[in-house]
Amino acid sequence: MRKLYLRMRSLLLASTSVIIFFILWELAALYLPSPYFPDPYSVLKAFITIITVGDIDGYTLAWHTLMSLERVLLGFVVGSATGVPIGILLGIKPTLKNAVTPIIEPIRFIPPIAWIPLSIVLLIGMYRYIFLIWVGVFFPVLLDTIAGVKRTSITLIQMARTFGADNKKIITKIIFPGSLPEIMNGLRVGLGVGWMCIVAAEMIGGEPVGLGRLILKYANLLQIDTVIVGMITIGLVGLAMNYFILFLEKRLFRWRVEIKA
Amino acid sequence: MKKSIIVLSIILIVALGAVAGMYGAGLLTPTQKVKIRIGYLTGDLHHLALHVAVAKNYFAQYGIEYELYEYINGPTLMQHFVMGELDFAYVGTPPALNARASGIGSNVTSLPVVIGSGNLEGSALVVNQDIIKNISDLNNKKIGTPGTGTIQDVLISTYAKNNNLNITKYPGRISDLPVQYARGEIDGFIGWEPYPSMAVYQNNASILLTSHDIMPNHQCCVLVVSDKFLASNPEIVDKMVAIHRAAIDFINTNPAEAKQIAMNVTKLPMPVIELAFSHMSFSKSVNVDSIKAFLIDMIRLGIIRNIDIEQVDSFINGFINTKYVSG
Amino acid sequence: MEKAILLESVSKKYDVGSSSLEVIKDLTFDVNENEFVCIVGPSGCGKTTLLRIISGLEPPSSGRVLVFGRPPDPKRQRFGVIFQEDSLLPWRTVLGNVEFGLEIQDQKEAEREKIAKTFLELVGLQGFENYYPHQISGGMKKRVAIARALAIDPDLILMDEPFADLDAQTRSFMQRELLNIWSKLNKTVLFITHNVEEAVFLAQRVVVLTKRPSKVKQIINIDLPYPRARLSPPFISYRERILTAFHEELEVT
Repeated sequence: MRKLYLRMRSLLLASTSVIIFFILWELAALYLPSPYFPDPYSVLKAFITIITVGDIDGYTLAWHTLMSLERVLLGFVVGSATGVPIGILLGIKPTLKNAVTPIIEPIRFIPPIAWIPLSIVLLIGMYRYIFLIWVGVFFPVLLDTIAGVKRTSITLIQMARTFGADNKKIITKIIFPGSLPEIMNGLRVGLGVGWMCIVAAEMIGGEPVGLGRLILKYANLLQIDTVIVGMITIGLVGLAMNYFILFLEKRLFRWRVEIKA
Repeated sequence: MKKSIIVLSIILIVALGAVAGMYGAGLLTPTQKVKIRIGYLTGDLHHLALHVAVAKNYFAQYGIEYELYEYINGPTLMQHFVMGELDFAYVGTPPALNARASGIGSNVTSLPVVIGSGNLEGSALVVNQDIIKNISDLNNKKIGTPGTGTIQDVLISTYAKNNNLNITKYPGRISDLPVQYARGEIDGFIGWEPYPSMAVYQNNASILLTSHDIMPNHQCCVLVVSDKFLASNPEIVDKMVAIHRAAIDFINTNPAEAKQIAMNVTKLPMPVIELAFSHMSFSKSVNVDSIKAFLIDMIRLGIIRNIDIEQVDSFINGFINTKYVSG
Repeated sequence: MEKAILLESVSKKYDVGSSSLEVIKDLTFDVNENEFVCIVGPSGCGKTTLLRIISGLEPPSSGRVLVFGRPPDPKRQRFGVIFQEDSLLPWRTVLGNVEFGLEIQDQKEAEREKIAKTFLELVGLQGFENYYPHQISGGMKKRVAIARALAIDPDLILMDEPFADLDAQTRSFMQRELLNIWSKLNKTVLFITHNVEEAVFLAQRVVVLTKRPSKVKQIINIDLPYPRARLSPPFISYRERILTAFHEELEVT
């Protein structure tokens, strides 16, 4: 009974804050002198229009979203497929890691946006997007994988050796499953960063579809309500992906003893 | 003792910050001469009048100090214009129309007012002749534009609608369009000169339509001033208009030298410049009918949402300042 | 008959920076098949190092090590090693953990489950197959580790202070269980401990090591029948003998 009460209470609190947010938004739109700050209702109208009819060129929100998702997921797959194995390699060979660190570290701090000019002159079409998303995904995945590998207990490795395990078995049966929590965390962060890169990536120009492109298009048209529709969609999809991976983590890692605060 | 040092340091830092801020905002320097801010577009030969005025030093002759701001397309320029970041701009008619429509009724936005004609016509649709041989071949092809809401975008959208064509528009940066075309990412593009001529000359593109073919004699770029600046500095606007008209006259009476200036600005070879010039015309009067036509097209395309067809005439009256430019 | 373990003048030296640390020097003893031998010695005397050498994880610096007549190699021989620390894989169930050794030894899947369940039953944990390590007690974890080691039918069982972390009650329970299993399966067991009472309770022979660099100080045969009464006079006297030898090593500075 108490559990139900608590849930209802938190639901009520959440709804209240959302409602207050919309009220504040409406008030701001009413009292701000700028004509470029749309009120919630016009954003809602723009939402409905772009979901049903589509944008000024006929592309619907679903289409824009799917295109952006496709690009991000492709980049994410490449980023993970490179980040995890390289991370495992660098994690088990500290001398190698120390050797490549002076190259990786400065590159890691170059934001994906700064890679855009290079990507335009060197790559074409979908490869550009994949590359830019890869830049965002690779480093979190790499770093978290290395951290996970390093955290592997020596005792477990020694135990495996006493049973006669060779290096390959130690990697597949001890190091990889043991680092999986950290790897998943890196994947989740990497996907988030990759998703945030999509706006920058799509602003390069080229294909006319994508959430980032939608925002740019409507900013050019000075129709800010649809700009906000694009922003909200990007936020919601990013949130959904994050929660999805968290959900996966929870199910996969039941064996982790959670420290209750 | 330690506490008071911390407090003193904080006060010092805040004071320094305030002084820096005030200096940056120009509150501390004695009021200088007004420096006008002029916006224009990357490599856009439609704005040749501006480059001529700069090259021939007209601004100094009229005692005006100026700063130039470059943008990648008209809509982007207008985003900054309405926020009051520019006083004058050379820009395409449709972006200026859209900016004025979006901000009308608000007293915080700077609305554009036309005070001069930039140029007429001057855009071209270039295509890969192997893929697109005639108009109907345009169906289902990828055509690059310099951005949504540019005059090129409006021209091609209206043309496609009127001719029942389904064209996939690929908006991008104008400087990227010839590159994308060369790589085959797009089947053609529509842009402002000299980029179409560049593609013809360097990438074997062929001109399918000039903007003259799409809309004869249409107004392309205009010189606009912010309504706020016009209200506060009318005498400077007088001078700017004089400079602009002198530059237009110069282009028409000294075409060779004008082309030379165009070459210096774009760093392109003379044959490209010649070809580009053949598509543009520079006049001192605007084509009001074509401006009205653009406005109606933009309302029909859904670009401009808060002006009805009935309001077009009064809108145009407010948009064009007949003291400075006639139709 | 072949010795289960043969150590002849084994030495082990580690290079630490510019100097070297000699942990074991000139160590010699042997273990017969099916014997239960305990090693006791002061901490730091290299007991764990000795275990690693015997199981083939590390080579000796000099001397000879033979397990059933051959140099030890965990890939060729089957060692059942039980560590002091918790060495269960936290992401596998109890059953999954017991199967682990069998997996490494490339046992077929269907067989693995059968064998694993058998040994879980042997250590008294039937019913706990699907529990995770974090859900069972320390003693139960040790029993899983024992089941895992036994499941591969090891040639040799090596235990490194496995009951040190357990409370006294669980510890004596585990000691009795271990003797049970040993008598049932007839395995050779080498058991390291610093708990003298434990050594007397479990071993047929107790090897007392000197302090570092260690060699064999004394080997004492425990001539008592199983199960042993901890408070009986002979038990206590063996304990005193070993403790004396032990303390001699501790006193020498």
